[in-house]
Amino acid sequence: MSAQRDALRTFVTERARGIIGITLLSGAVAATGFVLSVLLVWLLA
Amino acid sequence: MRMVLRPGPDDLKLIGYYLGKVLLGLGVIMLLPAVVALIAREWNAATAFIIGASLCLIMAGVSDAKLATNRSLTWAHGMVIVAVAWLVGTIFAAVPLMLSGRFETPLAAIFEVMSALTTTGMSVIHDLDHQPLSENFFRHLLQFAGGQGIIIVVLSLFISGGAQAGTLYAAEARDERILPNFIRTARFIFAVAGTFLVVGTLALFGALTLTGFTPTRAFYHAINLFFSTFDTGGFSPMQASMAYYHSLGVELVVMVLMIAGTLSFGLHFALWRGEPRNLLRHLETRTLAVTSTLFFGALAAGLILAGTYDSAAIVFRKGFFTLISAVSSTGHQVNPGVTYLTDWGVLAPAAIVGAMAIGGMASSTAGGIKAIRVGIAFKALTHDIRRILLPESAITVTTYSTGRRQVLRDATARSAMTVLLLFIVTFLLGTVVALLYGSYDLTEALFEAVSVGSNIGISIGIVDPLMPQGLMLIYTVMMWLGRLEYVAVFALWGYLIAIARGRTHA
Amino acid sequence: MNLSMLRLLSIPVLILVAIIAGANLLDGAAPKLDLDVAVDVTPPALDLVPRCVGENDQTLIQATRIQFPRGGRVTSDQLFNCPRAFDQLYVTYVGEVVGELINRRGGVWAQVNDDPYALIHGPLVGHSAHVGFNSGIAVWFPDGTHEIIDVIGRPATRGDVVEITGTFLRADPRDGGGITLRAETVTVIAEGFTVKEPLHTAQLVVAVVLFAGALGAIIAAQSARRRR
Repeated sequence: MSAQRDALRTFVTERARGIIGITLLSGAVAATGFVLSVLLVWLLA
Repeated sequence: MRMVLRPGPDDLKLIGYYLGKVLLGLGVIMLLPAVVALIAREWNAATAFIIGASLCLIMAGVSDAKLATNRSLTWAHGMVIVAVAWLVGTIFAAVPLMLSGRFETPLAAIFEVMSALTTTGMSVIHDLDHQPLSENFFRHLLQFAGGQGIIIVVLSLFISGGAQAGTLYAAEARDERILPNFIRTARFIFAVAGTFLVVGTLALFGALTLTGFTPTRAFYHAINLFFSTFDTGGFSPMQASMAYYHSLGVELVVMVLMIAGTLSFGLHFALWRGEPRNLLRHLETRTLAVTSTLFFGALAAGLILAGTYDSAAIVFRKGFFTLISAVSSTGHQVNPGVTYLTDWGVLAPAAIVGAMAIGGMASSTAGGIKAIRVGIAFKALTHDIRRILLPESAITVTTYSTGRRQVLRDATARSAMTVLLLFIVTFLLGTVVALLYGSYDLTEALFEAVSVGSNIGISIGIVDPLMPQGLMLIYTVMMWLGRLEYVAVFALWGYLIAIARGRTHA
Repeated sequence: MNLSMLRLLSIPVLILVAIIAGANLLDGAAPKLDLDVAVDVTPPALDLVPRCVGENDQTLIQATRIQFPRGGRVTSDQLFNCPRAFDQLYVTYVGEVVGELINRRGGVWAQVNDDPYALIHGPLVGHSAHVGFNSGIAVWFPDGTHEIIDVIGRPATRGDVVEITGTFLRADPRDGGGITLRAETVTVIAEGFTVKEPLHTAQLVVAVVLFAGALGAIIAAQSARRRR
């Protein structure tokens, strides 16, 4: 029983880490893009 | 290790046996849109898919009955199977589309399927906005099949065929940390794809319902968009592509999925195991980060200077999305292709071309195979420069990280640069061929050639249902070459020559 | 190359050629309709709008803007050929509503196409004229102006053809910079209809035969396996 629960916990944790990781990474990427946009508009527009 | 090829009838039969297995998979896949067609009462589409699936299953059955063998595959067999499977699979999968009446010629249907399976995303379909739902579903499903399928095929053939051979794959991205055992690797890949399938489709469904779509239509769009986005394909259910949705929420979810789809499975593994630092240190991540930032800078500057967009929010929504789409090799568009020419000035489209070239060379749909090539080339360059500048007696060693620290070896560097060179040659040849037709200008020709050759799919307008058939054929071959990254194609070529020259096995 | 290899290689090649030829034949034998559903539309206000290159074609852009009569008809091709020439101009646009009405606060988005499928031939099931991609623009229908639309373009359905007057925006800030037409008046000039696609009986027969063949092949493979 406990082995099953451990397996389930690993299952969920790994996937959660994957999804959250990608979302955070994408957020960082998007934020960089947005900051760059603001910067360049300010410099060049 | 030298491969001395003297292929005989037994080798052909072995290749045929494994091709049969690929066709079995394809046949089963084609049953899905057949079911959708029956439910949607699209009778002619249903019979078309049943014909396609049956043809595949017949070939699979015959091959299993007549060609079954226990012989193990060598590296050469594996490569030939991969190369030929693309061609043969494409033709079989194109049958339902040839029967749909929406394609100018059988070649156009083959182009569409090649574009789907190689996750390029260029389309030559007539009247997409009135296409039967099952057919549209099939196009998107093929992108998922092509994107995930190639990993399985390549991995299984390599592991069983002997990855000891100094192949380009093995030399470049030896990341045994992922999972030394094929079955566990395949299971992991399925797990990642499956997780994102559920979560990604739900996220898209949510974003679409929140943005004004009815639940059934939201599901239709969500599942199709997931298939074409996670596999960095680029097809979309409507001709207007991503602009159809008018939704920042949908664009953001799609961006996350594009990024997820472009990271190699090694990087996903690092995240799952709670080791994000490996991901951040990985040469692939760094290469993509640096090149994306540089090219986005150029793209944004180009848009602002040309007066196309003048607000940061719009530069981000249109420019950044397009850049991620290019670098990830997805190919979703938020602008009609022709407006890259008529409204984006000159610098911005050039930046997209650069981003697409990098995307083709450095981003993966096939599990990290291309992933670090550009990074390695850059490292090789800096290594050589250091060697020149330092005194002759100094020993220079360059390292890079792919989950573990590796030393840059000459063989690796050279193989990376060779493939890069091959890509560039293909881009140039593709450009020249388009120019020879006389009705396209240099920007269009170069843009489309890079997009096709890198399996991106952003179109500036040359690819069109009524385009010249000769150019369509060239682009089909370019997509095939791009996805196979030349290795398998060269193996095939060498194999054919060996057959032509060789003697028979008694 | 020796004969046995040649013979072995020719089998798959012949099979592939046969499949392609067969599919082509079968597609050619499909029952064709020839619907007469062309819509009467006023011709566009300008005959020709050449492609411009962003802001590098200021003379062309200015000349077009001056020439263009307020409220004149434009086609999506013209708009894409030189978006800056029409930015913020009051135009008339005619096209078929396709896809769906996307509900937002204060209005509705819809894709309105003005390609030959929309205005001349109808959806591709009803004819066999191959005339290329769909082409159209996104239209914002504010405050219930969309309610007059009944039929939306779907597979085998041609949606209502509407005539819209409104302002064309090259980079609509309320659409994140997209190309849009903000509708002011909307009239339906041709009602939508559904095409009943005739069943391709030859294809049905082939499907049944091949399906039987597939079952046979699978059974043959199973028994070959058991024998091994």
